[in-house]
Amino acid sequence: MENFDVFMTVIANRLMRDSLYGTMLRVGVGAILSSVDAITDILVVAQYYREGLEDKAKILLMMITTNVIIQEIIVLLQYRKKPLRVIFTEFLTSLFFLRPAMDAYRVSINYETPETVIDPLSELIANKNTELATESIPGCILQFYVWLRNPTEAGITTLISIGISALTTGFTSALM
Amino acid sequence: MMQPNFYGYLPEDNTARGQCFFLMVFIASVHNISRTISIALLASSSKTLAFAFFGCEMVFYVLIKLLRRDFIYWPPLKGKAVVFIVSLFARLIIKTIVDFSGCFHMRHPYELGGIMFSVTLFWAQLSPFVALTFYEGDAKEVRTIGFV
Repeated sequence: MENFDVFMTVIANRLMRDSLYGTMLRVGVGAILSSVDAITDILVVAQYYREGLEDKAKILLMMITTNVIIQEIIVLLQYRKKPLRVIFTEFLTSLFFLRPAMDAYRVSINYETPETVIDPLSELIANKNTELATESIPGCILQFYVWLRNPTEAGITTLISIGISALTTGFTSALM
Repeated sequence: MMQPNFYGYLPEDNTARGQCFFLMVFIASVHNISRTISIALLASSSKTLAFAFFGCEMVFYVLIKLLRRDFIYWPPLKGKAVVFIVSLFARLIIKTIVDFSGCFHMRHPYELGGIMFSVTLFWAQLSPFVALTFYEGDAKEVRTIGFV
């Protein structure tokens, strides 16, 4: 009886370790950060257009577009055996920047569906890798470059966006 | 634990595991800022220089993978062209992610491998200082011209 509390603590710790709630929290925060990152990037694009930095705005817009295009290609590969309606819905999900939230939701509920190429967690990682390599990292470099060259025009929005991009990159990297 | 030798740095204790995760996020974010600053400074000095630095790193990495006969990426795929394109694409994306976030998981032999991971981390820490010398060099030149 004297070791009962130790025994129960070990069981409770193991239960907490294997629980899905930790994963849910991590992927949920990751999804929120990704969405906020996309929103701040769009705000920065608007800021650049306002301040006459059209060429920089176009480059940043191109990075966001590349991310969406590659995510759409992943959708086409992942759901190619599914009905056209499903492919179309998934296509729209990526187009409206809802992919991080959708992936996080599917991982959190342990979503299983036949006729897909990879499981939801691998799909989430593939989309996160794409987002990092095509949007967060190059976007961060471009915004820092613009801030160095034109600090007044870039404004505080750029600095906030750089901070969020760096945090998103760090969080996604640790989550993988 | 699926691979204790690989993920062994993550403690079994819940609090310690949370702290470890927080530190991983912090290290990756700081690493990202450090590397971003270096490329942005190089680009401010000369865009060609920035592209040359980054391009050379990528070419060096792909050459090392080819020389070690480790270029083909691990997922089972069919068709030589598909295998080549997917492998090149995956290798470049993974290298970019490690360059700018120091993602610990990518030190796996299937990804960057231990030596390349260590070299990449070392270079990432060194690169802001290298970039700063180029940036300061330009600034000094401008100051000198202005003074003359």
